[in-house]
Amino acid sequence: MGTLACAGALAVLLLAALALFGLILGQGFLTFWPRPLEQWKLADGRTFLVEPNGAAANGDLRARIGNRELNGMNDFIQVAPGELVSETVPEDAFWVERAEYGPFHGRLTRVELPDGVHGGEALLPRFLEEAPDLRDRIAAAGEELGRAAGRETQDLPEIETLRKKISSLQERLGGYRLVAATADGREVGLPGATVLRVRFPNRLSFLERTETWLGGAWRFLTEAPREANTEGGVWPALVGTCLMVILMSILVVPFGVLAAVYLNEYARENWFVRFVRISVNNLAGVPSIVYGVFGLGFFVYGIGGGLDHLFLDPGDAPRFGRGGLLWASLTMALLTVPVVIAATEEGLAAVPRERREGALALGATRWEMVWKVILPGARPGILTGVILAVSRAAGEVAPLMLTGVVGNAINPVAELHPPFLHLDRPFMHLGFHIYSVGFQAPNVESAVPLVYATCALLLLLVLFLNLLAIRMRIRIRRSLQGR
Amino acid sequence: GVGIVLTILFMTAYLILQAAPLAQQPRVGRNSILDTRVPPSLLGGVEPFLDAAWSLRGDGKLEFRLLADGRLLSTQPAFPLDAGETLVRAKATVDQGTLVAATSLGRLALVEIHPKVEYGPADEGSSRPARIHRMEAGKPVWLQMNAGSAPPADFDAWRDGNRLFAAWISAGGTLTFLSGKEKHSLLGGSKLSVITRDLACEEALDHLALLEGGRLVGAGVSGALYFWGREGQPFGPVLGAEGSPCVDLRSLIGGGTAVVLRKDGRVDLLVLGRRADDMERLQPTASLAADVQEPRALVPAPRERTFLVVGNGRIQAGEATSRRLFPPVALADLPGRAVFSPRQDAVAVFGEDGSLHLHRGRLGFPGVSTGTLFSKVLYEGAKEPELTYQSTGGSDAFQPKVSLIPLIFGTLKGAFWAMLVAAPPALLAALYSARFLAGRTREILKPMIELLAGLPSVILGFVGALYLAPVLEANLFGILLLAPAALLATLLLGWLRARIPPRFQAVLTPGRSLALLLGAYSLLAWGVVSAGHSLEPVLLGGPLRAWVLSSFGIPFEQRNSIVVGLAMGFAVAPLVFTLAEEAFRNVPEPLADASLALGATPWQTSLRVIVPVALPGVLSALVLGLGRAVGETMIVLMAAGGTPIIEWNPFQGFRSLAANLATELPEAPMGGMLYRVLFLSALALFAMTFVVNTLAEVLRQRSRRMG
Repeated sequence: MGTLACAGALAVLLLAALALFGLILGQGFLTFWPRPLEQWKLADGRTFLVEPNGAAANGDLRARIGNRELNGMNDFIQVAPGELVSETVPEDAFWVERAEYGPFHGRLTRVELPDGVHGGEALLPRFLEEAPDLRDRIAAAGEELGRAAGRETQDLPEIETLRKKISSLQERLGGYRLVAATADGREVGLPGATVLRVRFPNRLSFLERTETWLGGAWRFLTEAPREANTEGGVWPALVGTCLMVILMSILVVPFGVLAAVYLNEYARENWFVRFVRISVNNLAGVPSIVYGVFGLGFFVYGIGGGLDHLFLDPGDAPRFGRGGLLWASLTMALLTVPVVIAATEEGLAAVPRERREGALALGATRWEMVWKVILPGARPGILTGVILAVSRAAGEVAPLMLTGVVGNAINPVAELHPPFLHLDRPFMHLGFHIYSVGFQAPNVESAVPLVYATCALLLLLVLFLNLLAIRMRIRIRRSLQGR
Repeated sequence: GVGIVLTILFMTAYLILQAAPLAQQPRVGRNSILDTRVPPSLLGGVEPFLDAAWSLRGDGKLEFRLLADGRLLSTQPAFPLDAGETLVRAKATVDQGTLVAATSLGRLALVEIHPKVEYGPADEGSSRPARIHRMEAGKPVWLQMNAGSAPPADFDAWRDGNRLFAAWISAGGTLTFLSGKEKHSLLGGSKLSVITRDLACEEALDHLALLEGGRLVGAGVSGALYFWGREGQPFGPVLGAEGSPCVDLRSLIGGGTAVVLRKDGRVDLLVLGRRADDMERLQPTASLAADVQEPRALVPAPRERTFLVVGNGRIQAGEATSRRLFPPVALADLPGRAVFSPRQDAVAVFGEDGSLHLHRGRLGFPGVSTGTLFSKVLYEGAKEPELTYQSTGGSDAFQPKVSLIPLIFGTLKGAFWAMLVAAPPALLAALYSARFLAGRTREILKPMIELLAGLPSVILGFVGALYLAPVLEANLFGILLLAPAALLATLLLGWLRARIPPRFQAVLTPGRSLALLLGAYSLLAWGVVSAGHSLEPVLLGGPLRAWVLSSFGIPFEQRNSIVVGLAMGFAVAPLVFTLAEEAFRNVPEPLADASLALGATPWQTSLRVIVPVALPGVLSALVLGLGRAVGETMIVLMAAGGTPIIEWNPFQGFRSLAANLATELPEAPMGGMLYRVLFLSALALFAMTFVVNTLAEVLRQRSRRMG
């Protein structure tokens, strides 16, 4: 009986873990799956083209209705099951992803191209090819204009030409327009400048859906967020997370490895070493937010504020005296030192005794022995430590909130032109992205699917790193036991 | 190695260092005195940069001069007086933004003053831009007191948006109260309509102070204090005549606290609040003994509930929220008129001989004491002393409430529910995995649970707040039924298994029964939750949360302690599992073998041999799990609702120390009171986890020694 209770407890834990992983990965992956649009007719006479969105706590049906600007800035409706008169899946339902106001649900009436070319669906491919191309050209010319205007000696004719070019392109883009009708018959013009993607979701075959899904997932990974992070992708957050963990690894590895080498190779068992070990263990147990508090006080306000005081005029906006990539990485390095030490010690212990003695017997000094024999032998351990540290840092949010992460970075931390990397700038982070979009976005509800996708991405990242570390650790343990 | 020790020592030291200024006493630097001569005046003050001082002359003119060399910057007729009229007495409001003066012709006038600063080109030999000072005075508001009579014994005025209140005591001791309303016309002019009436009192009065909303406190010649509520509603005496006569009576910033200075040096503090029946009241909170000779005046600070008691040759600072007086400081230039600088970084003393001395000093954080941090305080507007955390409010006059108790309570409440959810299954599962599972199955299962330990807490917080919380709200009854249902089902399955013929018993290896249980529990969970929906109306006549509210008066919040417990359970359980599993496995094999050889069943062996031996290690696992739960930030921040209340009800939220740090520290101005208090709370968190970790370490060492 008791045994069964124990087994039951284990089953409960496993069930909970599976349910959690299933929920996040399932919801995350469903985000980009093109769902059919249903036409709902309600008892009060209203008609909507909706994406069904499950049931509310009281049993009401919920659905995403799109067309935010036409529906009083609401993305969702909630109706009692009895209110729903009919639901059909119309073949011609039309779905548009727009640069503003979220998706549009309706039916395509007309495609308008410049020079008075009007037509039906047949013109859609041309529209989708030419309008984005124009948008890209306008954006490129805008960037060029920005560079020209930012130069010290301004070439006024050049600026003027660029301005003219942009306005003519914009004028041409203005000729592109989709005219569509909502489910209740209102006609809406969708300017080519805002239409990002269109589809007829109810006509897609499974293969086409998969293709759409892949495209959506790819754009999620590679595009910048739009609409206060509630749409678009997570590219800057992904870059920010990677840069932070790389910087952190560079900072933490020498320190952690040296400390582990000292503890394992040089130190004799005495009160000091015991004290150090207790310190390391305690450091591992300190809540991450306390590191954040320390980082804010010491790195940001202390060192950063000091640098600003030295190099900036009083009254200037702080440069180092605010949260930034460097301070966040330093704080995270501090936080992950115990992880690296523990893993490295394990790796060092796995180096066979004979090898040390062999090296010493051949006349190597102690340092040569450590540097040339032990450290290479302990490489798997060190690597495990780094992987664990990276996975910890990738998932940790609380200290970053205090030391330099922002929900929406105006200036990127990394650029493709010199100086490439801005260590002083605040950056975006996947974990904080989840918090800020899920809790601080203007319309959280419609952003939730995207947050699930971000969660799934972060989860996969952390799981992958952890699995890697676990595998390496098992290898190290085997080699330990092998002796 | 040395680096690590240094790091941890440095971190501790830094946290202490940042929080330490909270304990500092207000200080006045005796060395940095600036001495200037100004002509004798009725009233004076300094501007925020301590570059210039203003003084109000009897002829109604406002002088503004540099402190460094006494050069006159401007003289302006702030109070344009009639011929033959002079100012007889003047007062500044607590925030030093309005001057109130009584004239020899029985008029009372209010003038707003604004010292302005502009930046010009840098002075020679300095990189900083020079400050150019200017004084602006607003249009005076004239009120008629009793015309032609002797100067009033005391008067005060209070402005609050478009409301204006004034009160004065005639030379004969009668009190008059004026309530005015300002109406702004579209053309930019404004009209003031006033109602003036005398308020009756048992005895003649000699001091008064207007409080928030036009409430009034007055001191009788006997030393008794009387309180009038809104619109002059009389409430009678609040303090009897046993005190000695009143020397000065002032309201502090915000007008929620009154301070009385008596002839014998006693300082009484009174706080505006509400009685149990919601009537207003003025409650005496403390009577302190000031250590100055011949107390003369009270000087309220412009930004905090701090005041100075000025006596002969000495001043003493006091604070109303923490209800204490600090050690006195000797100032040789007293008696004189002392006044705070606007930033409270200096005290200016206008001597009777026309000298002006500026004493730079530091007020520190007098409102924060162990009393305000850890025990109940009667705050302004409250009914009774309470433990409240509310660090910032809408206006400058907000009274910060920084009790750490609600946060510590919230931290422990969250940790308790997390441990309640996580510990039982984690320990049982660890025992099973360590003692019953075959090596292969274990090798697959253990990393799975370890993976769960690496799960970013921000994901758990998100799932907890945006998935679990609504699901729990919709299925509360069913989900609460899950735990007893799982127990019952386990008992039932155990009974069933005992009935299985022995030859089939061997088929049920631990791995297989685990798989069977997984299926059984999923079915059970689904069944119970849906059954909960149909049972709820039958048993309780409606949703459980409505029933709990109507039967016990317990409110239900969507983001509550149970949600946090469940979400944080996910974070704590794998940690406890991993450590406890290690402890169970470290029990020496011969012990178990001996027990089995003596005929004990595996379960008896586990219970009587393994568990007692592994106990220190298991406890250490629990303690470490607790440490994790105490320090967890993101889950609590996202799923706990974030209200710092002390409430045992599991269906309500809370705010923990860690979540509070994440919420408030980014907004806290560096070096300010809130910043220091937050560092102190970080230190408290650090200390809590330090104790817990050390305890766990000691336990683990003991368990190793046994192993």
